[in-house]
Amino acid sequence: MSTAEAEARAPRRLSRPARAWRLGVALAGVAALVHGTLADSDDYFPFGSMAQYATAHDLDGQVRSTYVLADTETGLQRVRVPLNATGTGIGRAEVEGQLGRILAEPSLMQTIADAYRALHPDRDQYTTFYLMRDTYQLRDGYQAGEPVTEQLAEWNVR
Amino acid sequence: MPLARTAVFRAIVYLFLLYDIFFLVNDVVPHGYAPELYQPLFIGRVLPLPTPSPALVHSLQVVLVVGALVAATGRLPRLAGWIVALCYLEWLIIGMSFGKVDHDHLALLVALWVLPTVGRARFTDTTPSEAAGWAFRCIQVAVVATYVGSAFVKWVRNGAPFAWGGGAVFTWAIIRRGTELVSWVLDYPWMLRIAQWMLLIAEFLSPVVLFLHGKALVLAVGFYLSFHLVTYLSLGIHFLPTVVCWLAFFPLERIVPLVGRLVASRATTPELDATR
Repeated sequence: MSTAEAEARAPRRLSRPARAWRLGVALAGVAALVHGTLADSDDYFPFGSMAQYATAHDLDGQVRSTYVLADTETGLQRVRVPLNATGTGIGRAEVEGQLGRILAEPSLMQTIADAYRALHPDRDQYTTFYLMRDTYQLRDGYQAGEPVTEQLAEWNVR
Repeated sequence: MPLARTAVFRAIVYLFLLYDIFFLVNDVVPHGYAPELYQPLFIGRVLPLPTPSPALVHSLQVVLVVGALVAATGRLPRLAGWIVALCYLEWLIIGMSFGKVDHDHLALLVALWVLPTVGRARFTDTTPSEAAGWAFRCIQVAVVATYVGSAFVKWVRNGAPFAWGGGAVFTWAIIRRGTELVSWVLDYPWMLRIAQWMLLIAEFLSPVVLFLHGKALVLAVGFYLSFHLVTYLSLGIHFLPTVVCWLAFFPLERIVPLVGRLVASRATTPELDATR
């Protein structure tokens, strides 16, 4: 077994400056992470807070799920728009993360149509978008009744 | 820390990176087609990073593929390593600047930024190296920080260390994106609350892993990996970039003789790998 008898030599040590900057970088990294966590902001990515699923939801609260439906050029009505990386390039969480912006300015949904057309020119294109939201009511942690569906915005694709 | 461990880990991480950019953070190229929704994160506002465009994202992709392939072989460990680290940071900034930030990439990103500092490392070089030791400790700390950081932000956000455990966050997650495998559990919210408590405690305790050895280490890592398997099966959330970095806790150099023997038994010239 020639690999086992391979060159085992004296340990390779670091010089004092090499140690110093490594220590400094490590401390700075940890400090940045602590800062991002205490600020509870993922804006400081990659040193932001690990905030996915960090919000404790109320046992008697509501669960909201946003999605986009669309009519298409071939006449299909209210089909689900694939809000993911390979479909439109815009994820559902990204739409939810910018929901306020989109509600104030529904024309931003045009971007989704443009991206879809650029990514999948051969597919059935969208003519109208409906920004939808399902709201589920919780009672003591149990799902109570059917979800309420509402339409938040509509956009005619140019 | 033997240099060979760096060589093996590099091969794994840089090859995984290719998988990552094509299958995990694969929304970057599509994002190039939706610049209106680009809301740059802090780094993107402080540094003069360009607004995503199709040309930018396609060039990034090419450079990352070539750089990662070169770096995976161990050639040009610094040059290729730094180029990949820089381009991948930009890749992630674009990926995360559209309203959603994932936190499964911390350890992978740290790995890419510390691996070039080790310099040259051959698969058969068992020389202990302090530079490699520092790099691996950084990656290990980043892995652990992913868990303990998420425990602390749950504390910060909800006002008390364990307030998160009694809420309905798993119910919320399952209603929104649960697979058929787990939808039944919505009828038993107490089970979900127990699971939340277990997760929260495990996250707070994660720094202990840094001081474990042998069987205890294997068991502890096995626990965190099975957690990721469960969230993958139930919610489609995999955390693969963090999962890969768990390898930094193990003596990867031991697979070199095994691979060497495998190659030798197949090739007509024995010890192909060892004579390099």
